[in-house]
Amino acid sequence: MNALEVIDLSIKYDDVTAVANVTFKLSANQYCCLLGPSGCGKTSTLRAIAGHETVSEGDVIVDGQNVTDFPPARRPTSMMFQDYALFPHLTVLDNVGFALKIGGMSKTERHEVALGYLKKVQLDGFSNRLPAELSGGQQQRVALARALVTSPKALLLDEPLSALDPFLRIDMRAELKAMQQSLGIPFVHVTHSQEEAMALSDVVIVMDGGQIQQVGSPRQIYDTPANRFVAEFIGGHNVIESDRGLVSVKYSELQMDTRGEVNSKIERIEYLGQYLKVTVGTMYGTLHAYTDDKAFLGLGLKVGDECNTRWDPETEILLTN
Amino acid sequence: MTKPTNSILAVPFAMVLATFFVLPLILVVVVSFWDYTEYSLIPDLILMNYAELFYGCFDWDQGLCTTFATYLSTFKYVFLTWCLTLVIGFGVALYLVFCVRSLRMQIVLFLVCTIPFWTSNVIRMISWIPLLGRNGIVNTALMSLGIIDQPIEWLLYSGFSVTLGFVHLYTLFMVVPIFNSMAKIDKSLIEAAKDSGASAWQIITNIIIPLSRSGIMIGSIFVITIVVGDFITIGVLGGQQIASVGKIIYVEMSYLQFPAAAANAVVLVSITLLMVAAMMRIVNVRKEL
Repeated sequence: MNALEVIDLSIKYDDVTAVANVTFKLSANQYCCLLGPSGCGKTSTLRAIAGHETVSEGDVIVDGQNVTDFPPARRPTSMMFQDYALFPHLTVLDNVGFALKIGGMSKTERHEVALGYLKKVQLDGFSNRLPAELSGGQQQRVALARALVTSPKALLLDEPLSALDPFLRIDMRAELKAMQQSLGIPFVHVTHSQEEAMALSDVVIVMDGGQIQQVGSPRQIYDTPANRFVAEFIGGHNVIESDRGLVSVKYSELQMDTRGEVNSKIERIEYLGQYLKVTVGTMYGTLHAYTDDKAFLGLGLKVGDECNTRWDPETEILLTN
Repeated sequence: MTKPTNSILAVPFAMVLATFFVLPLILVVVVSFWDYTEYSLIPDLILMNYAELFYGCFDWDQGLCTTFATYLSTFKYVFLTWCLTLVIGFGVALYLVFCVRSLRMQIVLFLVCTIPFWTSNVIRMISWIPLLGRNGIVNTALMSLGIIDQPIEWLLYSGFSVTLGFVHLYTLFMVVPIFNSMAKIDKSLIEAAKDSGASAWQIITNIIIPLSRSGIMIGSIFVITIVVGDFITIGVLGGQQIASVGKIIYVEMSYLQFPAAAANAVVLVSITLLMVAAMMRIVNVRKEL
C-alpha cells in the first residue's frame, strides 16, 4: 500500500493556477523532496497535503484514507513550518506537548510523552526554556519533536533547513534522513536547493510552473534529465542545440586540449578544490567543464587562450524541450 | 538608548508632562491638606479633608458610608464597562485580524470603527437621548409594533444607559491596542495550532489570548482609568441621578471646596494607580511592546 498518494491535484486561485495535475505516490520508507524555484507550486502542493490549502481538483490519500476534504486537525499528517512556528509563549516542553493538550491528555502524562520526544532530538535538557532562548538548530529540533508527537503517518517539511547556517544544514539533513528511516513514514520535504534534494531523497520531484517536470531517484534525475528545465535547474549540465536536437552534456564530460582543432576560447577558470570549473566560449555558446586540476594545469592554459573542447557524442542526453 | 545624548529627544515631552501633569498633581496633593471656609482657602497641614471623606466609614453598624457607596457604584460601572468593552473589543479585533483577508479591507474596516470619533464625545452621548427617551425612537417603535404597551422606563437615565454610553464611547480604546498586538501574531502559529488539532476556540484560548495579553492590558488600563474618573457620561446619561466619585469631585469644586475635592482626587488617583500597578504585575507590558 502507498503511504501517501497525490492524484491529479490542482490548486487554483481565482484565475491563476498554482498547481496543475500533480500526481505521485510514496511508500512508507521513502524520503521525497519537492524541488523547484520559488513560485513553482511546491509549497502549495505540500500545504494541500497538510490541509492548509484548498484543493480545486484531485485527491490526497494518506495511509489508505482519502483526506482531501478533511481539515488539518483530522489528517494523519504533521507539518513542520518554514520558520518553525513555535509558540513563543510556551516552554519547549509545552510546545512539544501542545497537540497532546489539545487532545485532552493530562498534564503529567503529556509532559512525560513530550519529554520522550525531546530526548529523541537530544533536547531533553532544555524543556523549560522558551523558544527565543534557543539557537536556530535547537528550535528546528523542537519543531521536529512537536510535529512527531502526534505519531503522524506522513511528515511534511516546508524548507526546514533554509534558516540554518551551511554547516548546521548539512548536519541536520543527515538527522532528518536518519529520523525518517527510524520512523518508517514518508517525509515530504520542500526545498529549492538541488544539493539538499540530491543528498536526502529517495525520490526527487522536480516542479516548475505548477507542474511536475520529472520524478525519479537523484541519480535518474542527474543522469537523465527529462527536459531543458530539469537539466538547467539541477546544475552540472550544458544544454546544447546540436545536430541531433536539444541535448545535454554534463560538465564532467567536457575535455579540453591544446592539440586538435581550435574551437573555443577560455573565459574563466575557477578553482573549486577537488576540481576546476572552466568556462569556455564556443560555437554552441558558453559551456562549462569540471576538469581534474592536475591534468588541466599541465596544459598551461590561461584565461583568453584558445583551445580544443570536445566530448564523446555517446554522453549526450537527448532532451525534450 | 545607549548614548546619553539620545535622551535629549525625550526632553520636550518630559517638560510638557512635568509642567502640565506632575506639577498640578503635586498642587492637588498639597491643597488636599489645606483648610477652607465658604469663601477662602487657608494654607495649612491638616487631615480634616480626609477625615471628613471617610467620616462614618468604619462605623459598620451605620451601613455603608456615602464615600464607600459612591466608590462601589463607580466600580460597578468600571467593571461592567470593562467586561463589555473587553468582549466586544476582543471580538472586533479578532475579526479584523484573522477573518478579514485583504489588508485594504482591514484598513477600511478599521477606519469605519473610528468614524464615531469624528464627532465630539458629548454629542455622541447626547445622541442617545432621542433614541432611548420615554418617547424616543426605541420606545415608539416597540409600542407601534405592539410588543409593549407602556414605554420602558429603564432605557434612559438609568444604569443601563450609562453602561451603554460608556461601552459605545470607549470600546475603540480596547479595539486598537488588542488589534495592534494581534496583528503581530505570526499567521503560521495559527496554522501550526490547527495542524496540532486545535479547534477555533482552542486556538483563541491557547494561542491568541496569551499572545495579545499586552494589548488586552493596555486597553483595559485605558478603559478603567477613563471610566473611574468620569462625571460627564454618568451625568448626561444617568439624568444626574447616579453617584460617581468624579461627580462628587465636580460638585465639591463647584462649591469652591477645593481642599475637599483635592482629597477626594488624591484617594481616587491612588486607587487607580494601585489598580494599574496590579495589572502591570500580571503582564509585563514594557517587555511585550
